[in-house]
Amino acid sequence: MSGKAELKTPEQLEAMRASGRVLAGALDAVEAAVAPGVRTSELDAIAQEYIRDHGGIPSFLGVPAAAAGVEPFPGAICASVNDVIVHGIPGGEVLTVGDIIGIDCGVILDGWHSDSARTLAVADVSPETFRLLQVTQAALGAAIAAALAGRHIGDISAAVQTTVEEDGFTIVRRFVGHGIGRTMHEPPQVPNFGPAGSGPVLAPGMTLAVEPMVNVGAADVQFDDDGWTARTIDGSLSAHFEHTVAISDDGPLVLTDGS
Amino acid sequence: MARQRGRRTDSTPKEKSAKSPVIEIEGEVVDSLPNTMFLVKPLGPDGKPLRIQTGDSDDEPKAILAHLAGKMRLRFIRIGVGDRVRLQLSPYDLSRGRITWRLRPERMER
Repeated sequence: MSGKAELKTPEQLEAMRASGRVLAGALDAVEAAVAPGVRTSELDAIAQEYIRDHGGIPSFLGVPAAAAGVEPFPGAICASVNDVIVHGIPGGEVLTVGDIIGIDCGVILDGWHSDSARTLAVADVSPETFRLLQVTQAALGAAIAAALAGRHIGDISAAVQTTVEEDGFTIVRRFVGHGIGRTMHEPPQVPNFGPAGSGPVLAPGMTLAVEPMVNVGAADVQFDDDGWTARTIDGSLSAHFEHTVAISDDGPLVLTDGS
Repeated sequence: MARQRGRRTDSTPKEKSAKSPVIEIEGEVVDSLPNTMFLVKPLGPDGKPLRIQTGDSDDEPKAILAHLAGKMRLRFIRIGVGDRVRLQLSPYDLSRGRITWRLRPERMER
């Protein structure tokens, strides 16, 4: 939780971008397979195969749980359907028309981590649901735009919070974004709420996983008995978008957009 | 994969620790009295009854007469028999206390 963020050299950032490229490809492959009737375990298999075919390691497999007595994470992706905010375990759940599914995935390539997520509509969704996806994606965009050298973590937080709350949705506070690099979770924490100008200063070479999690209803979280699956307390829908972003003198670099 | 944030509830209220010395313990509500007063059985960190007053026996410590902190009354935090609560005691009178927090059952299992 504490400690300083490691600043990466331009070469190291390129290595992380290569990792992010594999990840973006895996997410594209999963996205192409999302359709009514598909099981979330099938999506997990697609991601695993793509990552291994491209020389990477799925980093979510075997991540130890934050709570005691909970098994390590069993999948390469988190498949978070409808009211699941994050960390849904892929399994026998079958997607139906009108569902939304958050796909969160991570890759290790040559020792460098990347972490990214998107929330997809399964066939047609209601206009309100579509608006949730749009606002959450816009919040991620605003966060990336605020990730400028010399500014603060709190500027990212405030950008997300303002975007989301202006549209009447709520920000999940139980989970936060994080520094990323040689391991998946590094300092600093990147909350999706809080005042601009607060927190550590953003320095060129910092790499952050920025990930707004947005609920339609209350912001509170409840956990399933598996210890991982985090749901909205009131059963309302939740969306999650994430990119791994590097701070540079030339503005934010998105490392997981496939470029 | 999102990171879980550290628990904020583990911190003690700042206003108090700066002013007067208080003893903070946990307890279980055993009776609800009028005027938002409660009888609370003091519990140690291990969940076993805590002996804090002179003259207490180990297995049946005296219940503490506790009132609900003003901020909790303002927020209409409801307390019932059986709830686990956080208590502040004055070191000068260990038979009375102030309830500052209702511990949620979800938090206790985790």
